Amino acid sequence: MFHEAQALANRGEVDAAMLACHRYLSLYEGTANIYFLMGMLEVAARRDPEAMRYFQMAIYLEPMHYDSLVNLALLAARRGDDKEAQRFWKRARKLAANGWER
Amino acid sequence: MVMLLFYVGEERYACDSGPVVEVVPRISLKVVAHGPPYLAGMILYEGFLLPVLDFVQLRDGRPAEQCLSTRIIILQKSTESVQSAGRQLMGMIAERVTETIPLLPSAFSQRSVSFLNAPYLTAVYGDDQGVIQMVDIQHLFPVVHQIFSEVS
Repeated sequence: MFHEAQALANRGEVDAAMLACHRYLSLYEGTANIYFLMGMLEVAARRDPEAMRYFQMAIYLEPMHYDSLVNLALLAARRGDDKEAQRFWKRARKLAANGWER
Repeated sequence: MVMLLFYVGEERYACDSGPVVEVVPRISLKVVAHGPPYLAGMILYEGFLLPVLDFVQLRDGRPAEQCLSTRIIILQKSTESVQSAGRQLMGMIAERVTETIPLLPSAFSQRSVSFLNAPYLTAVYGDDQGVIQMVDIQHLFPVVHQIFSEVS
């Protein structure tokens, strides 16, 4: 079901993909990847505050979720909070420094 | 794996997020006299003086627009060791640096391209909004290093 949501997202069917994500969450426990995907869908729909919440869920479940950290950094910069952006970049960079393969 | 999306005017470009160290506002950019137009200047970044390439100037022959979303992407040569002392960094100015796209670099292999005058453009990817050009960051380092090696 996650793959279905991802496939819909890749085809640009944002609303259908979001529905598939919610269906997934009604059946299974949330994972960093599903919340990340929902974050990306909210970004695509230009809903930054919602996107931020989903990326934060992703890093709550998986503090090393690099892609979510990068997106949180960019979202912070977009709302003009450069200090917060820098914090997320630092965290993302720390992953790379610890030899985590991207 | 996400890629960093950026613009030159309406043209979309993307690069692998691996070599991206940080995206910073365009503050404290120091202009270097007599450099080529695409050398925007130098910035002091964590104690290092880094050359900053204006990607907009390189592609469009005009300086990048002065607005909040025009930013400096701090890039690192190769993704090997982030903390080694010898790591090479540079900055790159681009417009609308506010988004990522969820694509693997391999997804760009839809069409490989190679231009003699722009070796850093390595592939194009198409979606319903048009084309995204893939920038290979490692090919941008020689562009700035050439400027400095000429005098050393």
